[in-house]
Amino acid sequence: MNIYTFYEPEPILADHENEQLIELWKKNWASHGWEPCVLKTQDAERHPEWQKYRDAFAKLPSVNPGKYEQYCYYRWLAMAAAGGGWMADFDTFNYGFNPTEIIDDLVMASTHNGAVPCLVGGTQKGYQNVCLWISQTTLRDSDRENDKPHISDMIIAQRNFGQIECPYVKLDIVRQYGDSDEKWRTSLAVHFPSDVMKLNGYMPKWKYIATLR
Amino acid sequence: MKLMAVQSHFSANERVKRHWPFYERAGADKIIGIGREDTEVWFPGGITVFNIGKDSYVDGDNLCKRLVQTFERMLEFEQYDNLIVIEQDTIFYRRIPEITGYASHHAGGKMGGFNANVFWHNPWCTDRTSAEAFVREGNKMILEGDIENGEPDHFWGRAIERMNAKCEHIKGYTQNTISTDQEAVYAAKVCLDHGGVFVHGVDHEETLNIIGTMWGVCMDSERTIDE
Repeated sequence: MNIYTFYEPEPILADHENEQLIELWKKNWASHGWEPCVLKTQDAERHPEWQKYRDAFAKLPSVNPGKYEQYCYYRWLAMAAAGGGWMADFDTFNYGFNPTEIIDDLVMASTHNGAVPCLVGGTQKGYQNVCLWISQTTLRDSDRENDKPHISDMIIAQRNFGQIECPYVKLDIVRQYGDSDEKWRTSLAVHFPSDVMKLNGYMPKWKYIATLR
Repeated sequence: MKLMAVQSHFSANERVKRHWPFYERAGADKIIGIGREDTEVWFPGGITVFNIGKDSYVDGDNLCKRLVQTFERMLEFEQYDNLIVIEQDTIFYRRIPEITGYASHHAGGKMGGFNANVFWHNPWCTDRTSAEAFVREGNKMILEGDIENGEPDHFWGRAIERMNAKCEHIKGYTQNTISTDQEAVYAAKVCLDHGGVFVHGVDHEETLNIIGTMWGVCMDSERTIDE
């Protein structure tokens, strides 16, 4: 079974270290019997309504530099174009999660803080629905960061997942590195978020993840 | 007719008591127990038990031999044409379908350090002729040391590939251990709504309670099993 992630280098972020992280991520998921696949913008462009969605996403404001946020949106389009499946952030690592059937249009494997889409399963329709929510998002007054308008796919996901028109099923097998309950030490998958890794002096991530668990 | 073998170990004795009604849901005509040579493994009274292998997890060829020898012992029961081997942490929602050839749960693809292109979680099922072929091939693999690091999931896959045989996928939910309540709910749903036959990785009583309740199985803790 494939496990997808999305990566497109963003020059402004000087994120070349991510390429080493992705190599580690690929080895990690392959060691648990998955077939890792890295999606790129060209995979999102295969979506039949690529231009329509690209233009809609481009209108959403972000405080993040370059096209970082746009790439976060593109990943949902790329997954819809791929026909669905499992998608993980490339800082989400597998510690025993076997390939598993997707039993609803969307499966949230991480329910941390409501819904962090660091490991998601979905049908083509499920991913398509997310693209639709993103493209139809209207900003709220509270959608600000550092006093500037800001929205992200995570905020949109948390706002929409679980609404009547956006049902999803929880799997809840991911824990976040650094959580005080220490459940990340035994969970089937672990998300290593950048803010926590930075706080602990564990950057670049690829140098440290293998030593943390 | 179906014969099912439950492989267990000493530290799973309480679990086997809890799980027994869920083994029966697989629809086998007879269930036998596979204990260990060096420890007391519990099975209900009246159940035929064979002690095979030492009480250890992956240790050399221990578990591979155990799998092969389990099928060998099952072949002694001549009236059964479907043979099913399970681990004690597997429970069933519905009957296992009639098997022709090999069937088990496709749990993942090729992993570094293994020869098999696919690894398969239990239930490991065969028809009688295929079981005989598996025993022959399995014994040959053990002699050659082609034992997939002693992991039965990979060993099963490797044997099937060496025989150029096919293995049907049995739907279900499988992890080494189901670790959260929501995961247990998900596992139950795979069977309830999506044709799943079994759930593997049921270690904890709470997990069994969640799944059993969702399946509508009477979770009567006072249920008496013949000791």
